Amino acid sequence: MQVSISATRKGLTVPSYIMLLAPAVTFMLLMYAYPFLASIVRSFLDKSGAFSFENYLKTIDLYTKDIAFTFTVTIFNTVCTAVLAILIAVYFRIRQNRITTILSAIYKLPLFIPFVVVAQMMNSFLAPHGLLNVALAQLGLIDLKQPLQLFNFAGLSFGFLWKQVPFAVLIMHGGFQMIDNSYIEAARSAGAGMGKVITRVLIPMNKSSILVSLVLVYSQIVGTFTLPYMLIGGKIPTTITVDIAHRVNYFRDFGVANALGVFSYLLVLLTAWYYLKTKLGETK
Amino acid sequence: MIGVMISASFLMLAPFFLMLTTSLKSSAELKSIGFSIFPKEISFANYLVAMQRGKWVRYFYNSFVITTVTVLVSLVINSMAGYAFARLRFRGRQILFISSLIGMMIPPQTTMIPVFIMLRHFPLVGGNDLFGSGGIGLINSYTGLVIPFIAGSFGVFLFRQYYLNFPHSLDDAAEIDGVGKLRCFLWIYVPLSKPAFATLGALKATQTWNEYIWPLIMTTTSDMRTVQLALALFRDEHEIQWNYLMSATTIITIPLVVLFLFAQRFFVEGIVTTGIKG
Repeated sequence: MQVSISATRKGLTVPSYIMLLAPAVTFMLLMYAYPFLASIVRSFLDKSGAFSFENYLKTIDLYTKDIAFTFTVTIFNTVCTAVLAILIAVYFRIRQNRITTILSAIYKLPLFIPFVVVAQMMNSFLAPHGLLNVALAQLGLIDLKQPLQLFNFAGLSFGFLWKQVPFAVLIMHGGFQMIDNSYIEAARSAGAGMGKVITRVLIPMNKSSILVSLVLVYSQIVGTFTLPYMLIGGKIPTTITVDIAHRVNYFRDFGVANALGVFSYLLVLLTAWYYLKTKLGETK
Repeated sequence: MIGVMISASFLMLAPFFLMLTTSLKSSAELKSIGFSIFPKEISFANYLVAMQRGKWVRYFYNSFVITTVTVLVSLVINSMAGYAFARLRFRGRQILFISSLIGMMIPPQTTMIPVFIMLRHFPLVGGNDLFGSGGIGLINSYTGLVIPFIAGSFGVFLFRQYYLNFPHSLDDAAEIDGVGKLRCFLWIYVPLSKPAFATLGALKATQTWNEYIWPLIMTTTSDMRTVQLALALFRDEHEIQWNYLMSATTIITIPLVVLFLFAQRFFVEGIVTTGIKG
């Protein structure tokens, strides 16, 4: 145990680890742990402050479709992000050419664009006569008289992927770069094709980076408000975050809003459980 | 594979490209029927008109203050915690670290209500009494806009991963020289941490600069607006003025792009070095 004494003030001694950890832990307790626990407690209180399941019954009655929709959107986009980000990050790792140079400059652009702006751009890009539909019509793939309607699950997914894939690539790319070339060369000299090098060497060796990036992507998608709010708004189904805003803005109903929040935690708990299981497994 | 990459490039660039071209279109062109990718007549005046609406100097000032303070304070406290988790041994270290990671997974939008209530009732500020009543607490204050973003599990995690890569001989040498843990952190580890500082700094700056919801619920006056909130100036119930909106959007994106170009070398090195190995 580290007992290095680093500060002495009028006879008071404080171990250095406490001094180093105290500010971050205090902020985390105040900004994460307290609100997290408070929202759970308040979700079980009715308007008079008594213990009740009323908020949950109302939530299940009104928002089951939206909870299922949020879960589907999140899983679908996390899986798609995983596939696309792995493809791009692996390509960056194994190929060094003009395309990778250009793409490695381009792919970071969405990182700088906030969701509020992404939503505005997507509103214009995915509109019935927006750039995407016009481009597809010019390629002869659709008729502009019957354009694709994208202000729904499809448009939302497009927006999420546009925003989240670069973030996942950024983290995975770092992990792939750490893998020594000798592993790839050894696999190739043992007769492995590029496909096997990717699936048997690169991806397994970078499993933790991939996991971290996907956990972050998953929880960001569950918690995003602006994009679903501005793209699909109050249409049914919508996401839990839009419902939370709706309950607070129109009804000042914090009980149901907190109960909806607890459903978000439950969705995130899936990844948290898997992540912590992996972490604890590693530390044993 | 090349096909996938080219498609990905198109999809990455297209909305960004659309933002730029829309920002250069005239209002008349946007209202006319039909859609063209390129503006028929380039109208740079949109940028001027957009910046003349509202108090943009004030909005930029607010965003700069909030972003700068958040980034600086979070770098200090996250690096300290990351160092403690990576290099010091104490009872409960692993459990505390893993518990702190849970914060990374809690969707911030779902904890906003309790945080808002807590800051609204913060004692002895904004007209509040000792029990947090009677005033507005930290609403409409820079402190209220900064506090929720200072500590982040991701920052602690990133620094911890970075500091794990250092050899133990570094600590041994410092100990032999009689350098305590705090001074070892300040004199040895901090100067060697440019990539980690640049990485977290760039990510934190992006997150804070781009934040929309928190300033929306924490501010009620025009003078406290940030640049993201100011975009609402071009949108009302009846109409969105796309050309001005996109002009303003392009302008508010520039500081982040400049920051990234400046920090890119360290940033990429930081991500690669930390490996974010989990």
